[in-house]
Amino acid sequence: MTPDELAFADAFTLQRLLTARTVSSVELTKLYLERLEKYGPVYGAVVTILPERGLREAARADRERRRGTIRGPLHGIPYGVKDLLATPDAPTTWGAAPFRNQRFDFDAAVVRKLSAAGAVLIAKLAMVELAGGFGYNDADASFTGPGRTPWDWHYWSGGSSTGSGAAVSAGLVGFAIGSETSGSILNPCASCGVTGLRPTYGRVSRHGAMALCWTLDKLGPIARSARDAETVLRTIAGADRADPTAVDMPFVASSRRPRIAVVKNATAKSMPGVVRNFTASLAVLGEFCDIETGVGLPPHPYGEAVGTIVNGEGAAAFRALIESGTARLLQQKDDRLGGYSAYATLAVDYIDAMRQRVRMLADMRAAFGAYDAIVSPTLATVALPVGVPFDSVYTQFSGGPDLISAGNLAGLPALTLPNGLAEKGLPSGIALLGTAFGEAKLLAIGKRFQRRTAHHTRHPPLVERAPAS
Amino acid sequence: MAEPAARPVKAPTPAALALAAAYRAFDPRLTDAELRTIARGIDDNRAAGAALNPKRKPLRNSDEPIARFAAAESGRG
Repeated sequence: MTPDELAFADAFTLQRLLTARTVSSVELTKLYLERLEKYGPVYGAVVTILPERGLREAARADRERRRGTIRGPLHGIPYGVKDLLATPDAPTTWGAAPFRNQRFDFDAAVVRKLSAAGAVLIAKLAMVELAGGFGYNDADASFTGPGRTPWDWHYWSGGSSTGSGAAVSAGLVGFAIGSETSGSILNPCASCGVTGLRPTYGRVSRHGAMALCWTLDKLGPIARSARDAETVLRTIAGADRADPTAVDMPFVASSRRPRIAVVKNATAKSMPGVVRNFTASLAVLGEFCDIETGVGLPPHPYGEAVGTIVNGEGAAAFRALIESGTARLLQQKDDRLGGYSAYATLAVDYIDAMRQRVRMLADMRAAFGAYDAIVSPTLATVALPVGVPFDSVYTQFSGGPDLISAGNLAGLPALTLPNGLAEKGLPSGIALLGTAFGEAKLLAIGKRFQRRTAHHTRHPPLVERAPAS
Repeated sequence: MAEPAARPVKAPTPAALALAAAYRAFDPRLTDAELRTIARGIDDNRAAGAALNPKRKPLRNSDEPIARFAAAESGRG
C-alpha cells in the first residue's frame, strides 16, 4: 500500500492494517502529521497540529496493542476535531480572532470518549468563526483564512465545519468531528465529497464544545464511509452528567426492507449535475429500498424559525463579545455587525419560534414518521466559489424544500453521502433525514448504498501550494 | 469564477436606525454606514419574526413553546 493509499483508507481498513501489524499507529500518525503540515495550510483546514499529543497517544496505542489490549475499532486511528472542542494542549479558538489564545484545562466529552477508545488526536481543525452564528456571507470567515475544498482550491469547503470536511477529504486525518447547528456538518461534507452524520439532538454530549445555540447544537462524525461514521458515532454517543441533554438511547436497526420517501420538489431549482447524481442515487437506493415519491414537507416558516432561534441564543451566548465591542476583531465583515442585529431579537419572536417548533415537530412526525429516511440532494449546488459574496452566485439555484432547517429544528438525524461529481468537477451529496434516534437505520442504508457505489472512495487531486491566479 | 451580481440595498427603518445607534455604547467606532447595515439586519430579523406568527395560520393562546427541548416524543433529557 502506498502512503497515499494509506492516507485515504477508511478507518475500518486502517484498523485491519494495524491489527495485521502492516503499519503501526505511530507510523500512521507521522504520515498524517506530515500531510497536515503539507496540505493543511493550503486548504485552510488546520488551526493547530498536535504532534506531541498525537505521538504520545499513538505510542500508547502501539504499546497496548503489543500487549494484546485493543480498546475498540478506533484504537490507534488518528483523527482531528473542529476547533470548538476544548483540549488542554492547545488554544481552542472557535475559529475567531478574539478567542485565538483561549485555553481550557480539560478535554471535551467527545475527545475524552475517543481517547478512552484509543483514538489519537492529532489536529484541531479550522472552522467558520463562531460556527457562523453571526451571518457570514463569504468564505473568508475564519481567522485562519477561507476553507477550500480539496476538489478545487478556488472553491469553498463549506461550513461551518470547514477544516473537518476538508481534512477528511484530503486524507489528512482518519476521521474528524464536526458540529451542526443548522447545516454545518452536511454542508462541508457535500462540498468536500465525504460522509457525515448529524446525530439526533441529545445523542452526543456537547460538554466542552462552544455553545452557539443550546437547543440546536449537535456534534457528529465526518468520515470516509458510512461504516466509519457509525463506528465513531457509537463511540461518542451517550449520557453525560455534564450535559443534561445527552441521553443513552439504543441504536435500533431494522431487518425489514427500508422505506424511504423522496421529498416533493426535492430537486427543484437545483444544478443539473446535482439532479443527475440524485436521480442516479435513487436508482441505486431502489435496488434495496421501497421508494415513495411526492411526500411533502409540511409548510412552516422553517428558515425564519431557525434564524430567529440562532439569533436569540447566539446573541446570548456571545453577549460579552458583542457588548465589549470586540466583534470588530472578527474576520468577515458581516460577522462584525451581525451580532448587533441579532442582539436586538425580540423575546416574543424567539418565543414564537419555539412555539412554532412544537407544531413543526408534530407535523413532521405525522408526515415522515412512517419512513426510515426522507431523501433529497444535500445541497442544491456544488461548492460556492471563494472570494465572492455567497448571495451573489448560483442565484437561480435556490433549491427545494428546506430540509436542513426543518430537520435541525426537529432535532432529527441526517446522513449525507457523496454521490458523484457534478458541475466544475465538484462533488455533490445525497441526504437522508431520519426519525429521532433512528441513526442506525440511516447508516444501514448508507452502508448498503456505499457497497454498491464508489463515490466515497474517490480522492481529490491535491495541490501543494496556492495556484497562481 | 462567478461574478458578483449587483444587489439593491434597502433603506433601514427609522426605528431600527435608532436602535442601531445605541450600539455606539458598545463600540464608539461604529460608522454611520455600519449602523445602517446593523439596522437593515434588525429589520430583516423583525420580518422573520413577523413571519413566525402568520395571519393565515396564527399561533393560538394555547400554543406553548418548547420549554426543554427533546427530539424524542417521551421528552427524555
